[in-house]
Amino acid sequence: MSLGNDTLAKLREIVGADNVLTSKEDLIPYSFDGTAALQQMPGAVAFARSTEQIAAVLKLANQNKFPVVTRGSGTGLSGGSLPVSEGLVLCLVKMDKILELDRANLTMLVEAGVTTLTISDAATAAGLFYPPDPGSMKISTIGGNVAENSGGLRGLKYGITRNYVMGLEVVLPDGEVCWMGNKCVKDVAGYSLRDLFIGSEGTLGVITKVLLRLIPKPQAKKTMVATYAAMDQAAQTVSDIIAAQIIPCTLEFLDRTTIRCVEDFAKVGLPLDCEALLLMETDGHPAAVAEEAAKMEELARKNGAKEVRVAQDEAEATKLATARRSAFSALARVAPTTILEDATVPRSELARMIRFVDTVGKKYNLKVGTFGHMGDGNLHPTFLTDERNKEEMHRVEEAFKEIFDEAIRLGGTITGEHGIGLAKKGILPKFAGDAQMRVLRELRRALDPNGILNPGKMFD
Amino acid sequence: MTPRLSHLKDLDYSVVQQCMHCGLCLPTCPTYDATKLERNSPRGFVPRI
Ligand SMILES: Cc1cc2nc3c(=O)[nH]c(=O)nc-3n(C[C@H](O)[C@H](O)[C@H](O)COP(=O)(O)OP(=O)(O)OC[C@H]3O[C@@H](n4cnc5c(N)ncnc54)[C@H](O)[C@@H]3O)c2cc1C
Ligand code: SF4
Repeated sequence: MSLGNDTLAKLREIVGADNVLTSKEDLIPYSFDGTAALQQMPGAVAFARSTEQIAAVLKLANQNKFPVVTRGSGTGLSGGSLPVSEGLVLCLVKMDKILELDRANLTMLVEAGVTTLTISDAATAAGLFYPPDPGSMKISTIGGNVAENSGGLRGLKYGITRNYVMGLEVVLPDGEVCWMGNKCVKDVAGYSLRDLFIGSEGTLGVITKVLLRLIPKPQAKKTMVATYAAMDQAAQTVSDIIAAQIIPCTLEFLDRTTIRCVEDFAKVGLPLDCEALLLMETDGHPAAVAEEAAKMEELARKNGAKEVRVAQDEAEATKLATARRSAFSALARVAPTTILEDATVPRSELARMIRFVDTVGKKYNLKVGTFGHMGDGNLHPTFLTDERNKEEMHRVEEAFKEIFDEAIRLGGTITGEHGIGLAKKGILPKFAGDAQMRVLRELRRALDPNGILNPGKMFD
Repeated sequence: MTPRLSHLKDLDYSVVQQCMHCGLCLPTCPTYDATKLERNSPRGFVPRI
């Protein structure tokens, strides 16, 4: 289905001719997101600058029956903002204003195209804290974060995007504008529709404004890295820390392959002869931080850590955290195609899951590096492959099937933070079950009877 | 599009394939920042090679 000249002319009227792209060279960068091996050319890209423009675009889409895929910065890892062939990509990066910072209520109102880092920096400048910090935060938009309900490195203690959304302005698929939520800490009027839109992956409406909850900035922070000869020692350290009733803000894990790639890439001085590395961070009141850090170090040593390196200053802490933040990029350097997954299991099953990934990698003769959020059970098994090698790609697919089956068997989920999109559409029905699938479909049909928004994503 | 930078021809295509579309180059790219068009960024340029 192509957009047609009449539609393009109307789009130019709504957003301005400068804000509609149609030439092939302009469109190519919008034919993919951060997901490996997925590509689809759109018919046009339109940049909106206001809620009213988006409402008008969606009304037009219902009249002329064309599909609309909302896009932030296109860093998604499940193909969510991949265009529908010949359809419209509605890009929100030009809606990038912070509208209000309310110090009395500790909230920030922003347009959906503001980047996560801009929000985090603005909060910090006001002496406040916006905790969600996805690895892509330098460029990911808050609209994308809300649509994917993104996590980050601080999920264990501070939760994920959902925990910081107090209100949303959404343009519904038919073009009507709807506000949900407010600055009240307590609000039980009607269904919590706001929560329905968090994690909706651009299928139920276009998020145009977000009211965020901020919290006081922790006064102190301590960062350390522990390395181990055996993965089980690292897993046991995590269990012991939790059992000691310490909730660190960060508990991240890298396996041997990832450690090597990171060291090769970022040169932070990590020991190469270890099987597992834990990046641990505690924050809060200085006295509590000192006590917790000492206890965490003691538990790491008790479990046989070869080395525990405690950052002496902010610069060293940043360096150690960079080791973890660069994991994905570092792995991606060593192979043409990097397929990163986010199978997630209950914390207690982590060691078993990590071992399983390793075994599956060996069984299918694949190169795999695993890292992830040890504190919240969210693993990133990353297969290093080459999409031009069809036979190997097939083995990768088979390996993933086994990994997801095992995650489900252990009481886990098929995606902890990247969403279903296109990448996991095939396995959602099995995971969600018939009753959930029925409700999902009926909800979507009720809001978007013409199937305008992100058709073909998440489920059919 | 044929690359005008001739030394690109000497590189293995896999060098170009190293771009994994992560978008992390966008915030540091001045032309992207000024135009908000991905065409004017490394991520927009690499696939056209
Ligand atoms: C290097 C790297 C590291 C990453 N690290 C993490 C991580 O630690 N944790 C994590 O959870 N994710 C991570 N991601 C995944 C990704 O960055 C997040 O999913 C992010 O929230 C996507 O934001 P975006 O602006 O790029 O959205 P896009 O990729 O453009 O869109 C994502 C989805 O949201 C929809 N959408 C976007 N904006 C809107 C809107 N305004 N209204 C309605 N729907 C919308 C799109 O239709 C699409 O379905 C990482 C990605 C990369 C490349
Ligand atoms: S060119 Fe940009 S999108 Fe491509 S890998 Fe480098 S940072 Fe990521």
